[in-house]
Parts: sequence; C-alpha cells; structure tokens
Amino acid sequence: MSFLHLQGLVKKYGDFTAVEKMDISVEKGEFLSLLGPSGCGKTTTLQMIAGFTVPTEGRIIIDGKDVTELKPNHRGLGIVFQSYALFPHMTVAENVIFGLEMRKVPKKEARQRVAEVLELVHLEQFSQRFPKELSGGQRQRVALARALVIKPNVLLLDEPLSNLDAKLREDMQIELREIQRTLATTTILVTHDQSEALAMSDRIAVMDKGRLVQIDDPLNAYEFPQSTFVSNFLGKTNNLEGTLVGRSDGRMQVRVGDGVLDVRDTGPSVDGPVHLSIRPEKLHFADISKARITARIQTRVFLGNHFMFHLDTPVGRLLLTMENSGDAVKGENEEVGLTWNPGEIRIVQGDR
Amino acid sequence: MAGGKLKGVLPPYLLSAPALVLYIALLGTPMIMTFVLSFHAFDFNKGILPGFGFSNYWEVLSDSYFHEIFLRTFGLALIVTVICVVIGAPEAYVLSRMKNPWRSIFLVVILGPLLISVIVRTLGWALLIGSNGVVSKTLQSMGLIEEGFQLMFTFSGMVIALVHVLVPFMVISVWAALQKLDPAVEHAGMSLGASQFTVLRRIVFPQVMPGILSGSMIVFALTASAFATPAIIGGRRLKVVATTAYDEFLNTLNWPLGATIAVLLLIANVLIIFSYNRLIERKYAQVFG
Repeated sequence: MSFLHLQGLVKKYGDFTAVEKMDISVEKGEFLSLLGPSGCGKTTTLQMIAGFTVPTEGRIIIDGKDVTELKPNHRGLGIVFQSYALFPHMTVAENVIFGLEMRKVPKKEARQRVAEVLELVHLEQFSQRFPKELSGGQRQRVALARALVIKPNVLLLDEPLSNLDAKLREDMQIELREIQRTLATTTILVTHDQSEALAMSDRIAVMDKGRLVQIDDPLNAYEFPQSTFVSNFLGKTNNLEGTLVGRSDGRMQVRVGDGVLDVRDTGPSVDGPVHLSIRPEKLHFADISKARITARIQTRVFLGNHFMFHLDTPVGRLLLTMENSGDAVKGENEEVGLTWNPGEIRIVQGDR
Repeated sequence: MAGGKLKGVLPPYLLSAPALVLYIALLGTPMIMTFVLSFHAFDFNKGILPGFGFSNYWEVLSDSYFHEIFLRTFGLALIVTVICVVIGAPEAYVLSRMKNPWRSIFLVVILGPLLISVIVRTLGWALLIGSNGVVSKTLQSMGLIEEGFQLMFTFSGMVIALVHVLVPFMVISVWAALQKLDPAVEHAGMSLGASQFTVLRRIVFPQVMPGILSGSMIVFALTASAFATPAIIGGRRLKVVATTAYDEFLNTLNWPLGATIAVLLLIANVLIIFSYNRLIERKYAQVFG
C-alpha cells in the first residue's frame, strides 16, 4: 500500500501545460527525487503536493486521505525551501518551535522536541542565534530541523542544497540521507542536479517538459535510460543516431556515420532512425589490431581522479573517460583503438 | 610617495566641494543666521536690538499660549503618523500582492498626491470640506449633519488633508521593507500550520516593522514642520508651530521671536527623531543589521 499517490495530476496556466498527467506512487519511508531541467514542472508538482498551487485536474492522496482541496496549513507536511525561508526575526530555537506552537504542543514537550531535533542536525549550541549569524550550511540545517520537528508525514525538499558550495553539498547529501533513513520519513526531493538525485534517492522520477519520462531506481535509470533525454540528463553519455541494417539472433547491426555497430537486440520495434547511447566510462582503449574501431584523440582533459578524451571516430565524435590509475596515458592527436562490451550499448527512444 | 598619498586623499574632497559650498551657503548660512537672530531682543518701536539674551526662549517656554501650539503640533504629528501606519502598511502589503499592470497603476494613484502642488491640493481639500463644500452639502442633504457644519478650520480637517499627502511616504517605506521579504517565508509559515492571519501577524508584520518605523519617522517629521496645509485648513484659529513662526516673522514683524520658535521646533523635532531612531537601531540591529 503506497503512502503518497499523485493521480492524473495536471496543471495548466492558460494554454501552457506545466504538468501533464502525472501518476506517481511513493511508498512509506521512500526517498523519491523529481529530477529535470528548469521549467520541466518538477517545482510545480512539489507546489501542488504542498498545497501552494491548486491542480487543474487529478488528486493527491496522502496516507489514504485525499488532500487535494486541503489548505497547506492543514496538510502536515514538512518543507525545506530553496532559500531556506527562515524567519529572520526569530532565533534558531524560535524558528524551530514555531510549528509546534501552531500545533499547540505543550511548552515543555515542545522544548524537549526542539532540543532533540537540533541535536539531530548538530546545532545544539546555536539555538539562541539569529539566522543571519549562521553560515549557509547551518541555515540549511535549521530549515531541515524546522521541517522535521513537526514529525511531518511527508518531507518535501525544494532544491535544498543548491545554495551551498560543492564540498559542503556533498557532505550535506550524505547527512540528509542518513537523517532521512533514521527517521524513515517519506521524502520528495526536487532537484536539477543529477548527481544529487543519484546519490540520495531510492527512486528517481525524471521529468521533461511537464511529463514524467522515466521513474526508476538510480542505478537502473543510469544504466538503462529509456530515452536520449534521460541518458543525457543523468550523467554524461554518447548519443548516436543510425539506421538499422541487419537484425538476427538477438543482435542488431546499426549503421552510424561510416561505421556499423553491433548491438544487443532488446526487442524494440524499429521504425526510422535507431538511437543509441553508450556511457563514456564503458569505452576503453585497445590495441588497434584488436579494436572494434579506430579513433584519433582530439583533446585530453585532466580532471584529477580521471581523464576525459574527445575522440574523432568513424561513427562520429565520442567521449571517453578513464580512471587516473597512474599508468601511461595516451596523448592528443594519437591514433588509438577503441573497444567496448556490445551489451553496454543501449537502444533508447529519440526525443519527440 | 607623499605626493601620491596626497593625491589619494584630496580628490574626494575637491569633488564634493561644489556641493558642500552650495549646501553651506544656501542651507547652513540662513540657519545659523536664524539661530543668531533668536538671541536678539525686539522692541515694537525700535525693531530688532542687537545683543545676546535668552529672553525670547524664556517667553516661549513660559507662555501657555505657546505650550498649546507646541502640544497641538506634536499631537497632530502623532495622530497623522498613527493613521498613516494604519492605512499605509496594509495598503503597501495589498499593493505588493497585486499583479501588473494593476500594481503599477495603483502605485501611481498612491504617489499621485506627491505630484500635485501642495497649495493646489490643499485648496482642493478646502473646496471639498468647506461649509459649502461637496462633503458638507452631501452629508447635510442626507440629514446626517446640521447646516453650517464643516471640517475647514478644524483639527480633523488638518488630519485628513495631512494624511492624504503623507500616506505615500509610509507606503513607499513599507513597500521597500516588503521587497526584502523572502516570498517563501509566508509559505514556510503556512506549511508549519499557521493560518493566513497568523502568518501576517507573526511573520510578515515583524519583518516590515523597520519599514513602518522609518516611515512613521518621515511622516512625523513632515507633519510637525508642515506649513501650507495647517495654514490653509487650520487657519488662524488652529495655529501650529510653523504657522506661528510665520506670523511672528511677517505679521508681528518680531523676527527674533519667530526665529526662536523655529529653532525650538527644529530642536524638538531632532530630539524626537533622534531618540526614536536610537530605539529602532538598538532593537533591530541584531536581527536585520
């Protein structure tokens, strides 16, 4: 029995459809990410769940109760906003206790719960500070504590980490995930950052132009993207477009540029161009004699723990990434051979 | 090196010199002269007598006639300020929630009074609220008031006319505070279970408080030193400090006494504004700084 249901959710602004027929079920305690570029409708979806935006069609059901018509202050959700939206005229403790005061929780119990949640986010010593006296990361934790203290049935996170610097963001991803696991609060994260979605969620719902295009666990979404959009948006990839020239024994031969690629046939009906995707880390250098195709290294970029190569090949330009293992590395303008496991080439849907 | 150092120090002074000279010549000089004048004596036959004494100050500070005028002036300033807060703060909030083009249109409507000459505007009020004015005639025909009733030459009349022109200052200053408000805090408040009214009272209002306080400072100072509106609507019967100083200068020709009144008004105004400002800064430095 799933805990949060979005049933045929639609939001239209005049002629513009912000969200199109959204159906999602989230299990109790699950961490789901809504991932997509800006303008894909993920924030609108969150706003509808929160109750700040009224859906044009569809229902929102939380814990068996239809909340579609319910005002935001009666939904009992915890929300962490992108700007944190802390109350600047209140101290940390006053910010956190606000939700409990609204619920008329007895003073003594409220203070106890505030102390507990501040300990959970490691802010015990900061309870008497004002928000402007805190760092970005600390404000983020206050926002989280304020949302968690009311023991929300669903926690909504609206790009919560986008205002933090890269290092802090990684730390907070891990910490946020741990807190979420400890409390087992059903959580929905809205983000445009694919690495954040991959690192934190149980499942990722990828959205594009108001549609839900794929919903999957992070590994599956990354390894088996269903469309060029998903493969492009989740990590780096090589997208190739070709024509089917042969199909037999569970294999397909696809002509791409001046080369023919051998691909495992995953059984789609093919009508028109075939779209392929292979991740840059699944390509490997090989001796030219043993290689599937030959390539010329156009540029080499050193990125610390790995190298990134742009290659000129008969099938077009390819991206290859290689771990910095300390071995000798090929240089620019070198002729190289390329190989890969044919099972790693995915057949995907082209963009509409 | 010394030359280079001098180069760094001098230009800012040189560049601000023209404005400074203008400021000293046109504002500083008359004020100092007024200040000096206030210590001179006056005789109805001989005119202004050079010298130095506090007799004018003693005259103003000991005479209940002047006490009443000062009390009326600051009472007027207080009432106008309170009404401007009550009208202006909600007005600014409503305005900030409007969508364009309505927002722009209503902003112009609100700022409208500032675009009209103070004399024209006040005479307009006189036409409206005089004994033969539209307001009186209408109310009379409805049988709500007796014939001859008017707001001209009344305290209420002055309050209405002053609120009309000073509300824009309150709206602008609360508006500026609202612009700094993160729109998400209202949503945050609601998501935590607060009703719309509680959000306004506990989250929005305290955050625009600095705007309300600075707006009331402007309105208070401008009312306390207002001249044209009290002169036309209040007339001789309801003198305020500014009109009294004017009368001393131009009717009684007792310039030293007029100067004394003007100086006392300035001192009182500065004292009130200054202590009010200190109060605000102490209260809000920690939160908003």
